[in-house]
Amino acid sequence: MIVHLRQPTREVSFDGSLTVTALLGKLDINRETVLVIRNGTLVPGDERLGADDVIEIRPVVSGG
Amino acid sequence: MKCRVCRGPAVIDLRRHNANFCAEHFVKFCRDQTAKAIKDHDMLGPDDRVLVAVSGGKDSLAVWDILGALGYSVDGLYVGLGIGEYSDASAEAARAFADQRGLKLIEVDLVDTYGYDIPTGSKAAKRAPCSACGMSKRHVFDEQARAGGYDALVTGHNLDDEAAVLFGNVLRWQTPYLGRQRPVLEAGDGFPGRSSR
Repeated sequence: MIVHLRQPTREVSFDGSLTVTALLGKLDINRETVLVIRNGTLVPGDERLGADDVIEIRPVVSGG
Repeated sequence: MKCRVCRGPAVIDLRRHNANFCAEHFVKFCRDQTAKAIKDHDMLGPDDRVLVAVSGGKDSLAVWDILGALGYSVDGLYVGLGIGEYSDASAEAARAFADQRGLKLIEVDLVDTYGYDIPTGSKAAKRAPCSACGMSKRHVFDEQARAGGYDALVTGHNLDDEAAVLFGNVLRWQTPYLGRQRPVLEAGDGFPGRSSR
């Protein structure tokens, strides 16, 4: 799967399928600081993401 | 995960509330939480004319949307800060939001109205850009709220940012800033009805 991240903007890819929680664990991102979006739709922590999915991880805390 | 309300598929899980929601019931949850905060802190009266200061970002546009849904008479105020592409994109987001919902958006451009933008204003005043920006916005908020006869001015923030500001002010022992970081700032001299956040 291809994962788009912000702050800074970057793109990473993972092989196979993962849950949202597992993906965030691999990226060392706190679950409560981001929204995870698949094909324009929010997905919760236990959702399984497919190998072909395009994922966006959007921060919800500006930090400013 | 299933929605706590309707047991349909959830789109978001909120650990703080130990709850999951579908899109429809998440929106309702946000509106209910806002209504409760308004009541608990006596922020707004039902007939108040409200002005929401919007940056074009999600926090302020969300509070504008929610207040409208709760039945308040609410207009938006956008301040053009002259910070390059950031300001252009922010203004576009605020305008698109207002247009889509048929809402009134008041726009004040610092360069057009006062002859300076934040980068030049901060240098002239020898203040950090954040300080010049905050003071400029506050002045425009007060001026526009008074000129338009609004009863309250509202700003939208997320709790994480409020917590970060509170933590920073405690560490630096900024008592004046600590004193004003409250849900409601009452009216004062030169200040509109009240300010709710």
